[in-house]
Amino acid sequence: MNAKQILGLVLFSCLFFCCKKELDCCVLPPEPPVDSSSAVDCAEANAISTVGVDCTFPAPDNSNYVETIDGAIRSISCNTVPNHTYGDFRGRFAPFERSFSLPTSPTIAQETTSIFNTNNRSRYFFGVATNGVYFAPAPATPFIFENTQTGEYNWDWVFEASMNKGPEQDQVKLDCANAHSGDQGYHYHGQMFAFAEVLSPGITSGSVPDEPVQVGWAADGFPMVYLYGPDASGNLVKLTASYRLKEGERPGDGISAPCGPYNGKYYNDYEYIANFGELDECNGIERSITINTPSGRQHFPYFYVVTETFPQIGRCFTGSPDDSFL
Amino acid sequence: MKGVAFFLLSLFFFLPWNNFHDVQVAQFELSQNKQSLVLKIEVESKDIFRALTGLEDMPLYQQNAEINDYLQRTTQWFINDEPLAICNYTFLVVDGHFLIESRIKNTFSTIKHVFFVNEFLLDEIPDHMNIIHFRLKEQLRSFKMDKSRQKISLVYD
Repeated sequence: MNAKQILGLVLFSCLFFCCKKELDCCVLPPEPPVDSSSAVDCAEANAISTVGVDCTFPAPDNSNYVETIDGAIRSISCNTVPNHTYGDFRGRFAPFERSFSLPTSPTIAQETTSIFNTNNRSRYFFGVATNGVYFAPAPATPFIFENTQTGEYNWDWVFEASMNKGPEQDQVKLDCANAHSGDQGYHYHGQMFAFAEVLSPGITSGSVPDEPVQVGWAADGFPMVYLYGPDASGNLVKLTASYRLKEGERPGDGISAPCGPYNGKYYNDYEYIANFGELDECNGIERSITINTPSGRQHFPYFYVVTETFPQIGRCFTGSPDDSFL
Repeated sequence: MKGVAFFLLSLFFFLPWNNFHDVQVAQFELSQNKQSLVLKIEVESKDIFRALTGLEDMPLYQQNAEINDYLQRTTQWFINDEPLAICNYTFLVVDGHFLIESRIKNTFSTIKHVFFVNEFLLDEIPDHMNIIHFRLKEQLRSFKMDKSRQKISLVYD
């Protein structure tokens, strides 16, 4: 008996015994009905990514930030080139000349102003760092939930960049400073670890600085400090945001809006709870602060904080943002 | 036999293959005013150079003609089921991008249905995506198109 005959005998035996045991076992089962609502894999669509792209490039030597004060106006010109190591996942890194104007003595407005338009598309940059890199915490397309059937973006569900950091497809590809390069230059989407380390070595791993560390200016002219600010007694403390993850499941069907548990993948997964932390809805606090700025030591009645947790960089302004940040 | 297996395994590791580095985006925007329909396209120069062999070495006027031909081949627009002839593109190169624009007379009293077929760069660049914005009838709607979605249909009330 050769090999072909042995194989045939084995197959025949299998079929014979299988069909003898249960007559209909050789008939293929019908295809299960496809229910589009149950076919959505919420777990897969809800995947987050908190490990970003390596910073493989050394700090460039052409980072440019020039700040001048003329009366009530603080003028900034810069080239969005960082003064720290950076990543360049797609090879798009390039200087981008920008200029901004700010009030030197900002005031708190009657109402807050969102960085988003009413249709949830990004409107303002939040501000500019003192190394010339700008803050753009809200991502644009393609980092928006898209209808799985029509491809239409649903702007109620904008990705939270710091929870979608990785190099994978459909992720934001942020580097060691939670930044990446885009058409309009290199920009920060979250805690700018690498820049904070340049300003105050050890601060990102728990070393408390002697005084507040200014990382930049918000578009309304108030300063932004990194993690620490004065408490009511003037002692330097880590200040916390007043946002937390919503509880339960998102209401979406997974087709036109995301489903699955709130896990931070989207900006809308978070809710503001007044007094949950020390900071207000814009991630700032109305409290006196004196800081060393690029233009010398200055005093402000309000400041923003870059926090460890969401939103890290604020999403609204307590003062009036300047149009140079549009 | 072992040699063949080793060779095939080597190919898997060393030949270029579709990976995340190839994710590319081009943006299209169709808007309207009383007189015109305006189509704007923004695409990174290096993406289109990669797709159209030899384009980079051509003079600008020839590049424009090539891209125009390519757009005619890879995109089709229909409004209210009528094909839209979009030509006379103007080209501008800014910061490593081609900014392409065309204006045509708006002959539609009302827009009820838009159908768009788009294969722009999809065959040439793995994982390329096109993002399409429609600023029509005082609404801004945006869509993602890629290899798996090359046609979109919009209905307006």
